[in-house]
Amino acid sequence: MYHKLFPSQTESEEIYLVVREHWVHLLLKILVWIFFAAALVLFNRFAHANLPNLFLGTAGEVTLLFTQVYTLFLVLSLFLIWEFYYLSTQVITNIRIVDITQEGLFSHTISELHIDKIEDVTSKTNGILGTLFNYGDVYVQTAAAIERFEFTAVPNPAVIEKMILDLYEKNSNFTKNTK
Amino acid sequence: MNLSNPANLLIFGVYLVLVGGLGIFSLFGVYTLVRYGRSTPLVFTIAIVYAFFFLKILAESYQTLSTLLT
Repeated sequence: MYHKLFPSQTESEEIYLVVREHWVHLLLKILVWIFFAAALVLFNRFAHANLPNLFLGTAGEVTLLFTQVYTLFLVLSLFLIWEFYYLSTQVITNIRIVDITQEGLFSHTISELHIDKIEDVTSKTNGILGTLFNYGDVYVQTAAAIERFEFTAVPNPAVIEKMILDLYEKNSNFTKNTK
Repeated sequence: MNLSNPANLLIFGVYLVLVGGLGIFSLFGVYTLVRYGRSTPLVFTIAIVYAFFFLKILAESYQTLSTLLT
């Protein structure tokens, strides 16, 4: 069965690469989530030891209700962190580059750039984590209305840059030969 | 559940707003994931696992609320 990665994908289009943010970026977001989850665990431990009245009678039920609603919030936020990571992808095909961004629950953006519109490609690795884990940004300068196409925190930025440039050269050679 | 008491009504109202909001975001979260996630087995598995945990904690919290407001 043929599954489309983006709405305008044609059946004959070859997919060369589907890339997401590097897992280290996802891990950083999860670390922030762990901080909030740890706050609940610490609250439970601290309060059980020092404020036992918080867990008795009506106060105990209110505390339990609070921790349950807070847990719901934690579960939802972890789900959304993963969802936004999973739905934000960049796709490179033999015809175009597609940037799909899930910025929020109600904000889904798809930008497309045809290979022949490319003017310049730059890759950038920044920071200790970027250097250690080999991830960074790739900027594609275009001749189209969207001036700069950006792949943020993708793994192997130099390889992606080379891939886009090779595709551009292959496409321009093909165009020259067909003229 | 006794809602004739103003304090109980207030607790119930706050609970409804908070959990209602989380529920709506969850619903749209699952909808967005299934809609844009190209219906892969991974997407369905994550959506089902999430829905299971969310509903389980939701049921527990409602049980606690019922006991509290009795």
